[in-house]
Amino acid sequence: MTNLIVEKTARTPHISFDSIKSILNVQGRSIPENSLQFYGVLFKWADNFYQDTAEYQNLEVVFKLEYFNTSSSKCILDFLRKLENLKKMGVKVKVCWFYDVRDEDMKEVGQDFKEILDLDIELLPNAEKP
Amino acid sequence: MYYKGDITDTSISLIIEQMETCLDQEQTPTRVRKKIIYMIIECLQNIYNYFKDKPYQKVLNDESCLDIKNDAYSYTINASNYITDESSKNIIKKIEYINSLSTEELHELYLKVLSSQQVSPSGGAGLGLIDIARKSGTKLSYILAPNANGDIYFTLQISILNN
Repeated sequence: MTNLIVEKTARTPHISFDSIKSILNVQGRSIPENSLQFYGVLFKWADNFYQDTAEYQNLEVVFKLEYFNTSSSKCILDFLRKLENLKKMGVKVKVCWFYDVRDEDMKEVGQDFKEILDLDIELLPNAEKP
Repeated sequence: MYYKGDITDTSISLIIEQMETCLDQEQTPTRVRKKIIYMIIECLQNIYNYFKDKPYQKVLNDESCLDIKNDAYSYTINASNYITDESSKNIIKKIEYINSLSTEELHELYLKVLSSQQVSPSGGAGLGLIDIARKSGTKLSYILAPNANGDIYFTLQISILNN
């Protein structure tokens, strides 16, 4: 796997993958009109990761989102389902879901994902603005 | 804050930016600020998606409106746009159903729709009204105003309590 960098825009988050540490970061706001098109990058990245499970036994995915629209939440769930498949293939996957302590809605979304998925999702309060 | 005009990619960005500035100036608590911005994004993107494939309806899109008011207890968001009579019937049916649910039932519905439906090519995930009701914590209201051509000027009214 090579490093991945998608620069943030006013509507879409910064995405980066550090191939040495095997950490994927998704940070910022996610309110694109066409979420499917934007998250296609992450879906493709996850599909490529399937091919490299011999090289990567661990994967950490960090979400630090400020806002996201409902179509993004659906795409994020679909992406997390791909991580669920990686887990089934033997990769140790950990998801860190950061939320602003003053934003209970963001925390609830993380709890909802925990409820729906068979994934190690850690909810982490972040006092600073994401 | 008040905006009237067509809802485009550019106008959505401007409205969000201006609203964030307003809320910052008013020192709105982060919890409420985030909810308001979230609701505005959902409302504006719903209108945008409705008119996206209907460039011939620009005159109707020009009448789209977002009105945000606040008092000591709450913020009220009124998001208005022209829709067809058929669309209005579908939305009202959804709103009445959502309003009939308890908080727990609404959460269950949210999880069910989130985990089962796909994002449509038009960009919707079928979650918008459910999530707006869930996050606002209040019942949704609406106002219907038919015009002479049979189109309906539909206003979705959302209240967000300060506490």
